[in-house]
Amino acid sequence: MRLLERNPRLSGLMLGLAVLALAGVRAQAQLEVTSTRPGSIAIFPKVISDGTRDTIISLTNTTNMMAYVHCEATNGIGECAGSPDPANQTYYCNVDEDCLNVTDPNGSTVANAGPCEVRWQPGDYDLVLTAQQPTFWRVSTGRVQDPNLNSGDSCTTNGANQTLCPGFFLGNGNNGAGANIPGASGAFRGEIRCFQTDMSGSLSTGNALKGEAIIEALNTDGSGAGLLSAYNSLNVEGQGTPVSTDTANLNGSEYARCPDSLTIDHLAPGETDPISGADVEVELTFIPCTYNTINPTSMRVALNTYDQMEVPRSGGDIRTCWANYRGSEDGATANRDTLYLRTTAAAAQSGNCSAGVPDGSISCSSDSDCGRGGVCFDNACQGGSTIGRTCAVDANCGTGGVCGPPSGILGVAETLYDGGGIPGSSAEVAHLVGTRGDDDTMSTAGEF
Amino acid sequence: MLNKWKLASFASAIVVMGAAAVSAAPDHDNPSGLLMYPKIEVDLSNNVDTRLHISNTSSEQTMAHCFYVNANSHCTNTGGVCESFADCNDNGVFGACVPGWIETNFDIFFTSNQPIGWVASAGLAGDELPCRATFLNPNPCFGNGSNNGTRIPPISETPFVGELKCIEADPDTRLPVPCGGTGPACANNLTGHAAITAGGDVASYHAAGLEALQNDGSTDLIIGGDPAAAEYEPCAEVLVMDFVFDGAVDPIGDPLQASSELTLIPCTQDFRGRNTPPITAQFLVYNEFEQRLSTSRRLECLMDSPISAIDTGDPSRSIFSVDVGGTVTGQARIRGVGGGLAGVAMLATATDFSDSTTRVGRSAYALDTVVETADSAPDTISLP
Repeated sequence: MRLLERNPRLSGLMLGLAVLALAGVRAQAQLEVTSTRPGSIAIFPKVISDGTRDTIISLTNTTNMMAYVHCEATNGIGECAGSPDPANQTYYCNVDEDCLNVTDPNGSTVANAGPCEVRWQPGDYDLVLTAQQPTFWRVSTGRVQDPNLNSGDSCTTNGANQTLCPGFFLGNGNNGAGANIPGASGAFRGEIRCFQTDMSGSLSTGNALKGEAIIEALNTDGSGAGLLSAYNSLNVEGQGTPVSTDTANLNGSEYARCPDSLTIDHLAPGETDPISGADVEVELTFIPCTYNTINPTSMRVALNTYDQMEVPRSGGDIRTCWANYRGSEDGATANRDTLYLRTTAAAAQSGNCSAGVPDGSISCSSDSDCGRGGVCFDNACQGGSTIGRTCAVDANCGTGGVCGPPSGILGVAETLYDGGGIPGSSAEVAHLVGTRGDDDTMSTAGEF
Repeated sequence: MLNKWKLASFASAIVVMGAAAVSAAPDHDNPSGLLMYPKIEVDLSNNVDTRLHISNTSSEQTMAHCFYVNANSHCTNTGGVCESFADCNDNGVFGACVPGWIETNFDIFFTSNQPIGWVASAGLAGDELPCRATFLNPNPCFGNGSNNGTRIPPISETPFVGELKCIEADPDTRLPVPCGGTGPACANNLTGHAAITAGGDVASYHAAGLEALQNDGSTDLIIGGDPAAAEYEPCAEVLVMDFVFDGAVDPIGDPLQASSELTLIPCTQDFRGRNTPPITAQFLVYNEFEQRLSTSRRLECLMDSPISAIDTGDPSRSIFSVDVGGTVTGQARIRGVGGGLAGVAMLATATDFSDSTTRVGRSAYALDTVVETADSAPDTISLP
């Protein structure tokens, strides 16, 4: 047997090369949130079905294997507290200011129908996609499998106001064979996140999913007006076997980390389009990266808008669950001096409670301030959970409270054109800049 | 003593493994050093024009060297723009409709964090520049810097169909700044956006961005390929397009019909030799029954087509039409043979999907990108 003579320089070289190799492997495994590559979570930040517009969700399995999907549809619509009887009219809103000077069914102006009570209502459903299968559904009516429809038939609506279309739909056992996707119960303005799972419903990182959301304007009789805004889903890449069956850890090694910030190129709201002469409004919609089915996640959105003269202006505020900024109303984007703008958006400052139970130290004005199961008694929350509430320190999260880092944000920009003869709209997801240093989580716990 | 050959082999294997790991399918979401706008459309007689927008996301000044490519076909007899020989009728004598490729290049100088926008038919220059420095006003903008040196020409003719490519570059050499390796990090600061307006409705999309990885300052840009040599992220080997089959009744807008368009451009471009390499686009189309059909189409510089006209002159017989596809939605996987592709899709609603004059609304969305092999043949952009 020949003894190997140890050479220190050689050992060092080998070690260095091994490190390089590992670095290369890590680079190959770098995961991203992206709108132009398939992922294991497909996110649609802006989904509208409120009587003025409706949305078609298109979802595709881009792999040659079955893909099981669990979708969470979260309604973040707000209603003005002073809305008349829903049989007459409901005033929908994003912020309290939307409830000012609204027109009632009689044509009179109501000075203040507020405050705006933002609803947070998650719902879920499951579907199965065969290899390379595309599918779609309409948010207001959902979709029902009908094997009797022939290839090439048009979609129809049944007596339960559900859409039936030719195609192949599979249930995954939870909903049974011939599963349907339910329509939204009432007006919906919110988001949809679709998680790839295995057959048992546990999270899976097959990176199979991509999709588009197509928002279409409706005529006053509810029929489609044909005016469209389409955008790609934001897809979160994953790898390996998730540690949890129902919580995705966006930590860069299991699922991609969310972007550090967003950047959006857009026209200045209140200006006119230089081609059509139409008046321009811009809506910036943001959702928190972190998600759970227990409580809505708050986010402090920091907006910074540059005009063509490089003049910056800031805006944004704290929002919960689903934030839809109208450019003409935000300090960063309104009343700017140039036609073309660039807006950056980032989550800032306040953290979010990742654990905790109200212990009487959480102030409130209504039960909705106290999360699920919580009650507002004597202006203090009792029971429920503080998960998702804004916080600065652990004590802000009640008993057993843990104040986690601020959630990342994702977003969509939509430009609305009015005038010039034809109203129109267009949408894209925001550009993603950098990668967050903190983790986010997306949890579907309690929904399987 | 350890065998030196074994050491060399081991070292080579590690370098290859490490190097091969860098290549990944591009995404169009991040600021980048190369932007591609696959579809610029202008037809002033029909109120169609394109608004273009590029932003510098950096707090430093930067510059982009840009190339319009006019992909119009022209009649051999009249020189007019044409789509087929039928447009080339000169007093009963028909000429041929020959595909064209005409390039125009220009520079844009950005100040820090600056968005720049213009309308394709008008361009941008002179007093229209937002930060135009003069002797009396050398620092016209909030920071220090100016747009002097920027002159964006109007597109060369109308009607116009073509593309735009912009490369972040050194203002003196008009080439990418040498970077990567032991040098400075490559500049990836540009984001882009295009909005095509027809009448009043608007279809907008992000410019496809490729991040710069390294650069030697030469006039040949290597896109993808061997990761050790790649100067930019690779173009897609396969583009994935979700679409609604042409003629399918809009599930929301019944009786409106869906009508889609697809625009594809080659990643490889020879701006120096004015050569257009031939590329064939292969299409695999899946419907919701998982049934698969296929076709292919040769690209002459740029393909801009209703999807149901890609494979046939009779839209009702196309594999992209609902009469053949049978379901509302489909998936198309598009592979470029002979080079990488970039593209954009447009979904429209119309009362008659085969007649674009009946179009009601239109919207654009990006195609997904897939790279299947780490070291497929690279694309190249040759700069003048």
